[in-house]
Amino acid sequence: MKALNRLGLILFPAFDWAISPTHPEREERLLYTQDQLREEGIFDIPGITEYKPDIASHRDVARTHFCIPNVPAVTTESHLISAGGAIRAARLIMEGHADKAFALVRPPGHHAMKVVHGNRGFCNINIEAAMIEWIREHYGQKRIAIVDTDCHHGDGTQDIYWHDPNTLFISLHQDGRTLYPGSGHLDELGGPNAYGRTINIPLPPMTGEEGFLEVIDSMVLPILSDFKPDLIINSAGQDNHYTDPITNMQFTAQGYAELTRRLNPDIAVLEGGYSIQGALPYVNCGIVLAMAGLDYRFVREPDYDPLALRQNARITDYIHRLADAVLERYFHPKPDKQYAPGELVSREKRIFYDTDGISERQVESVLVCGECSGMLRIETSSTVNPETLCIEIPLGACDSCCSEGLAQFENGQKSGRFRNVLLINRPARDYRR
Amino acid sequence: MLVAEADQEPLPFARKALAAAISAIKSAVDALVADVNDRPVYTVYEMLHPERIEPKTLYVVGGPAPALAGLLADAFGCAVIVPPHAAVANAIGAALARTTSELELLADTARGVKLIPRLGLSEEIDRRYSLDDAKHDARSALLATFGGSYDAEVQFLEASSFTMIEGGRVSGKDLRVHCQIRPGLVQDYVQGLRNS
Repeated sequence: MKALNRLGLILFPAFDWAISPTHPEREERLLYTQDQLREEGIFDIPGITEYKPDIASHRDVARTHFCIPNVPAVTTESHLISAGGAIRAARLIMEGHADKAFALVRPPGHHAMKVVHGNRGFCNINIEAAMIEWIREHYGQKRIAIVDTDCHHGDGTQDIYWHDPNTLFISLHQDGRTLYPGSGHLDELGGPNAYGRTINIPLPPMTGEEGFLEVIDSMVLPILSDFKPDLIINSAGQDNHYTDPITNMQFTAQGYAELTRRLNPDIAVLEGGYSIQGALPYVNCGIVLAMAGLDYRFVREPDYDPLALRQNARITDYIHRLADAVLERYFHPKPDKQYAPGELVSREKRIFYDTDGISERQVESVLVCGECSGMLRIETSSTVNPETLCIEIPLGACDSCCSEGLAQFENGQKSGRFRNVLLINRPARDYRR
Repeated sequence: MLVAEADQEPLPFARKALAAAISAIKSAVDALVADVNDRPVYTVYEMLHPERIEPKTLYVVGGPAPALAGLLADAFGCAVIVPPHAAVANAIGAALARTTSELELLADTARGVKLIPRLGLSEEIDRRYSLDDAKHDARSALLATFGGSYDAEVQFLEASSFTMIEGGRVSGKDLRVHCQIRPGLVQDYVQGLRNS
C-alpha cells in the first residue's frame, strides 16, 4: 500500500496542557486518536510522514491579530505551538515536501477574531489565519478558500476575513439558532469590499451523511469551482459526529472521509470535536486516508449503523431548498446598501468571550475602496482592557489606504484617547504598538 | 573490470570511488542526526526544551577504518579516532554488550485491569492503582523475564497517566509504562575494568 498523495501529518496532542483540569479541551483529547493511527499502521505507509510542529513567533501572531495589549498577554506556548503546527503544514506544501498536509493539533482556533482580549470558545489564536497570513507574508498574495466543517460557526475566521475579497470563507455548521456561537446566518456575506466572499450554510440539527455530502456537492464545490482558489484549507472540526457530547448532528467517520475526498483540500487543520474515544480516532483515521488517496472503507466506529443514522426526509428536503438560497447569495450578492469609494463604513459589535468571561465593545470601520481591501480601523475596549485603537493596512493596499492608515495611527497616538494603539502594516511588514 | 568499463585510469577512478563513499557516509550521518533532532514530540515541555544531539567526535571502526580516517576527518571537520582493534571492534562490542530487553505495561483503573502484552499477562487491579505501582510492576516483570537475579539498570522510556472522563465524571486513569534494560556493557566486564 502506498499513498497516492504525499501527506505530511503534524500530530501534536499537547499531552501536558489543558485549558483547565475539568475542561473538555484537555490533555488526553488526542490520545486515542494517536493510538488509533499507530494501531492502523498509518505512520508506516510509504508517502505518509509525521512531522513536528513549528513554534509560531509573536510576530506571526501580531501579523494576524490585534492582541490587546500585546501578544504574550493573551497567548501561551501551547497556542504558539498549535499555530506552529498549522504553519508547518503550510511550509511542507509550499516547500514541496508534501502534496497535502494535515495539522492534528490542539488547542483549536476558529473562534478567535481579529481583535483578541482573551480566550473565546476554547480559542486564543486563529491557527488557520496565522497559517494563511504566514503563507502570504512569505509567498505573496494568494487566493485562498477556507471551508470550515466544524459543527460550530467559525465566527472568528469569518471576522478576520470579512473584508478580504481574496479569501473565500465558507462555513457549514449547525444552525446558530440552536447552538453556540449563535451566528453564521445566510445573510452574513461579508463587508462592502468583499461582499459575497463569506458564505454561511446553517444546517438543521440531526443532519447526517446524506445532508453533509449534499452540501458539499450542491453548494461548496460549485462555489469553489467559480472562485478558483490557489489553496483550499479545511478547518476540520469533528464535532458533527453522532457521539459528540456538545452538539446535535449525525455525521460519521465514513462521511467525513468521503467529504474530505470530495472537497480535496490542500491543508486540513483540526478544530473542535470532543468525543475523544467515540469519534476522533475514527474520523481522523478516515480523513488521513482520504487525504492520502487511500481506501478508507474499513474505517468505522464500533457501533456504526448507517440505517440508524439516516437523516429525516424533512432535513433532506430542507437542504435541497437551502442550496438555492446559498448559491443565489454567492453568484448574485445583493448588498442592502451601495457605498462609494472613500466612505468609511462602520459596524458596532458586542463580543462575549465565554471561556474567560470577558465582554468587549468594538467599533470597526473599513474604508470602501475600489482598488484594495481597504484600510481597517477598530476602536475596542473590554472588561479587561481600556480603550484601544487598532489600524490595519492590508496586503496589496493602494496608496491612499496606506497613507490614510499611517495618518490614523499617528493621530491615534497623539490624541491621548487610547491606552494602546496598534498597527498592522502588511505592505511594510511592520507590526507594532 | 569496473575501471575497464569506465575507460579511466585506475588511480583517479579509485579516488573518485573513495570520494563517493565518503560523501555517502557524510550524507547518511547528517540525515540520521537530523532525524533524531527533528523527531516528533508530543508535549509542550519537550517542544520548548528540545534535546538535540551534536556529534563532536567521530569513531571509525571496521577493516578499512585506518585508511578512511583522514578523509572522514576532512569531510566532517571534527576529531576522528580509530580505536585499537578497530578491525574487530564490532565483534568485541557484540561479545561485551549487555543483554537488553523491553516491556510495556498498560493499566485501566476504570476497568480494573492491567496488561503486559509481551507476556500475555492480564491481571485485576484496584481503583487506587497508581503510576508508581505501574512502574514498580513493570520493572519487576522485566527483570523477571531474565530469571534468577539480573542486576541491571531499568530505565523508563514512557510513564504516563491520563485521566478518563465519562459522563462528565472522572472514571479512572489510563496508565502506560514502557521500560527497558539500559543498554551497556556486561556487568562482569565493567567490574573487571574497575578492578584492574
